Amino acid sequence: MDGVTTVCVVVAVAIGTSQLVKEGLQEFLYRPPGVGASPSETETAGSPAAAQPPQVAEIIPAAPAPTPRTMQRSRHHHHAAQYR
Amino acid sequence: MISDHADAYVTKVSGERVRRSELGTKAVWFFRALLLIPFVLMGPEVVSAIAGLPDGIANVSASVADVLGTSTFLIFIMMLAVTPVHTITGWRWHVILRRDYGIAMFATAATDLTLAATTTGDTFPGTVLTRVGGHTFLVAGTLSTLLLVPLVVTANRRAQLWLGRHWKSVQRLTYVVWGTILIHLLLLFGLGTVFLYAVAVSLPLALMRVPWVRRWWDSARRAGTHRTLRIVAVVVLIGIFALGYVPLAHELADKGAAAFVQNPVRD
Repeated sequence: MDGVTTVCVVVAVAIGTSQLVKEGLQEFLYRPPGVGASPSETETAGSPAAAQPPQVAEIIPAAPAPTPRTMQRSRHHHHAAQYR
Repeated sequence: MISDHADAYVTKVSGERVRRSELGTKAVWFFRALLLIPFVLMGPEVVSAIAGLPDGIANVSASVADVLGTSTFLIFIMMLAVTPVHTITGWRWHVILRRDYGIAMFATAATDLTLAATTTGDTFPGTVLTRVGGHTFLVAGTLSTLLLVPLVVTANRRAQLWLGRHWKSVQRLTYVVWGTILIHLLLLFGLGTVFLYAVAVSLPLALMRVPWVRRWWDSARRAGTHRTLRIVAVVVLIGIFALGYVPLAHELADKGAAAFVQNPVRD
């Protein structure tokens, strides 16, 4: 049984060593996104600014135009752009 | 047939025949049935992948570590819990589960390793060797699985008779596997929650294996002394154990249910 145990350990160590030599230490130590405690790609792709919710000032449309008709059209366009 | 082997095995190990009540037999079969859960949860995704359905391979890749990896660890912990439960309560009806859970752990871990080697190319691009040993945590996981081979090969009466006194030293490999699994989880999750859960479930089980603790508990139980102290200790130990075990079981339930309906949680 000692032989079987030794073979099992040698196989695992050999696989690891071959991959370490082939891929390099950095890749060997690297944990891909979404694996274990690493954040997923979707989490890492977005910048911190993009991940934050928009500020209140960004949601509120700009001040309406002076004439009532223009104001209505302008608000609709603005909202459509916001939610597109 | 398994039951016959089980009885023979227990007889040889303990030197006394274990007479299980009907309730004990039912409980043993209940705990054996639990071992099917990881295979049932992964079944639909594996069948879809074999049938070549769209997303079949990707679904298995997304679920395999969450479902089979977590299951393997939970089964391992249940196996390790058999001896402390015997020390604390004196029960013997459940001792056969140690062997059953050990074999089931190997089956789950081997399935995990096989599926990981064949389906996780999206996460670990490269060859089969990359997928089982391309990173530190993969090497630790693969080593843990391979170290189960001598354990499972010797988990029968014939091997026990053949190896004699050496059998016990081979079975002590379990503690090495315990260490490599914790290293695997540390490399995967860092000093985060999952690793801490694993440490929490391990602590009471390790404590109850300390020789003088085990001897003291055994003699106190037989003599019926220190009852209050033992009750308080049991409550504390179960509390620490539950702190780790419950979240891990919850994690398996969540990810396993998602895998079963073939809508795996993609991290």
